[in-house]
Amino acid sequence: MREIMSYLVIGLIAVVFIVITPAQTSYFEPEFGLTPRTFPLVILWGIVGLSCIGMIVTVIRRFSSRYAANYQTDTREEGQENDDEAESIHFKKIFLLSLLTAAAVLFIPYIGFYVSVGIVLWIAFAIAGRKKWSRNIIYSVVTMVAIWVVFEKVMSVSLPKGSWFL
Amino acid sequence: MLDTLLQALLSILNWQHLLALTAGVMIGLLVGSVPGLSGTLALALMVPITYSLSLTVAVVLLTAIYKASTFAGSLTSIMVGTPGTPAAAATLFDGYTLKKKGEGLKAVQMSIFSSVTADMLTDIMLLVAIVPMTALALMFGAPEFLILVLLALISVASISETNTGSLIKNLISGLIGLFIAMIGMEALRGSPRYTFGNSDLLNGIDIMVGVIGLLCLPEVFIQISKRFHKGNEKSNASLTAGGEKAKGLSWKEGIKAVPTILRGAVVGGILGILPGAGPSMGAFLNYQIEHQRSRSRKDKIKVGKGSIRGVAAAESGNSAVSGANLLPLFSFGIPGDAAAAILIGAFMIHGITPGPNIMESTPEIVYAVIFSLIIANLLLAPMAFIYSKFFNIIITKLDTAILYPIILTICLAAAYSIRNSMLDVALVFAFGVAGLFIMKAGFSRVAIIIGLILGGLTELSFGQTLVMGEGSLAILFERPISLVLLLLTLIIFLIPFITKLSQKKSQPTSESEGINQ
Repeated sequence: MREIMSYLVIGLIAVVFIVITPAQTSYFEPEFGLTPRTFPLVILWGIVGLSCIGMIVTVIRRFSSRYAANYQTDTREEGQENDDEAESIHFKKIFLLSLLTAAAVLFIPYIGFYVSVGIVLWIAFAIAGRKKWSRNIIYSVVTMVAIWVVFEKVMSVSLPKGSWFL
Repeated sequence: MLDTLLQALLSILNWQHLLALTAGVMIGLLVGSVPGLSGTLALALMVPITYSLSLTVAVVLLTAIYKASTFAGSLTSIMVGTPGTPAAAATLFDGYTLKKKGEGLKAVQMSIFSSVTADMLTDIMLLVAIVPMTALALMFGAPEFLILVLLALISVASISETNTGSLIKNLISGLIGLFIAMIGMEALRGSPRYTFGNSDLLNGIDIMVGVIGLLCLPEVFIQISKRFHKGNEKSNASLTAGGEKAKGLSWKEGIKAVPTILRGAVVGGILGILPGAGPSMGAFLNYQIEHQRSRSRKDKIKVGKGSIRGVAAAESGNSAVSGANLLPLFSFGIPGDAAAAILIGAFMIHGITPGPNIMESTPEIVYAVIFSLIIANLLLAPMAFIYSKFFNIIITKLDTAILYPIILTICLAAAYSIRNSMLDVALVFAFGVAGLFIMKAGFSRVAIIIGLILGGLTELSFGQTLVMGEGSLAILFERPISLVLLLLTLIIFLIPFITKLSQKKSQPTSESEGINQ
């Protein structure tokens, strides 16, 4: 079911882009059959077509009992290592980390890169398993100072300071 | 000519040039090994410093930075699973898998060996055959380039990262990458596409944004979550396996990889002389060829599953491009890639305009630069070896619970530094989250990156070919070089099938009898 869902989602996203293509591209008279829309539309229809093929192939495989037996054995043997690795991944923590990063990206224009990402770094150390908060603060501050030296002083790249501090 | 060559060599062998070379290699190694920071960025930052230097010292410094940074991207790719540069993305497959198996040191040593050898070969080729190579480059037009781009694009079909991957999923992934490359200004007419009214998107989505977002961030997220889940265990980022002493690259393994490296030198050398084809294309194209060959060989470990030959293919392919890339710069005044464009700027600052006349007016400068490339390579080998040891110590000593959150911070800072845009930071995050779902669903992130790298080039060369053929693609079969390339492409794809058929006919061989590569 997950296989079919993944093809369906990708296919639907491609359909959405096909629908918005006229609004998101300019119209030009075709030159040798090419307009600015040609390539994107060929790609998007390609994705839709392949997604449909993918779904059909998955359904056929599922209903083919002979294949199902072979498939289960094959994937079990080949995918053993990956399964072990997947088991060790904590998806709730990934979700939490993603939320934190999203919040940092949203707050960078207001509180600046160093404060925003510094806080995320502090929490990320804890998520990663470092329990001592005081040490995590020290690590975060040292990392942000190092980033400031490398980016601002060595490479002359000015990271956002934040509108609240300007 | 020999006098000019000797004069050029002697002009390089003084303390200023050697110091510039050493400093350039060091800077390149440092910058290239930080995820998200490319050699181009380092070059752009160093140009103002070279104002006060003489032309040859300035160019020597810049070329050494470029060369070393192209190599150094592979270090993080192998050791941390986050490519330092887009060109190192192909190294990720086998390099990181080898590291997980405890053979990271072997992968790093192969990376150094293949990079330096392939690059040295193209540099020597450039030195002795700059004039014939210029003639060859002139024979490559849009149709030939289109075939090369398509050949690299086809590689997405065989690149699968997970066991749940499939041909259909890989093709869809490649198409997603191509579509992302369509965002921004269109290549032929310059009209905006899918910008949603955002002017920052007019320049499209930078490849580095895709690399950091799709390849680096998901790995960082996963490693941080794993670390928490497993408890307070120590770093697993060591090059060693289970506390045993890490095995280095043996002479036998090195010699066995020589044909792969030679192929990388040829592929990278040809791609390098073509403007627009960068190291990433060289890496993926040579990797694809090796992948196809691996299917037909009796290898115990296939390319893509932690093969040392896979590392050699990717690294030789990308490094060979960096030397040959200077040919369009010297011969036509056309930069082969962004780094070469910065080098043109450095030349012009010092009053020399690269182009067809440079070989007549100042050949000693051209040869001095090529000699500096060769010496930079000679310096790179020991320096990269020492640096990789030092880099490994840092990675090993640092707990992953500290290392990966720091990499997350560097990724976000590097994303902003690409174009000083918050949109790039947001896109990196969006790609990072999408990358997790893509991995989970069994689609290929690297195929997306290949599509992103080649999207613009495909559209441009396809459009130019149609214009040249006045609306017909028959031109692909009418030009001798494009016809040869088409035949070569066909042969590359047929070889595995023919070999498999002949193997079946002769004698069934068990996998355990294969070569341990």
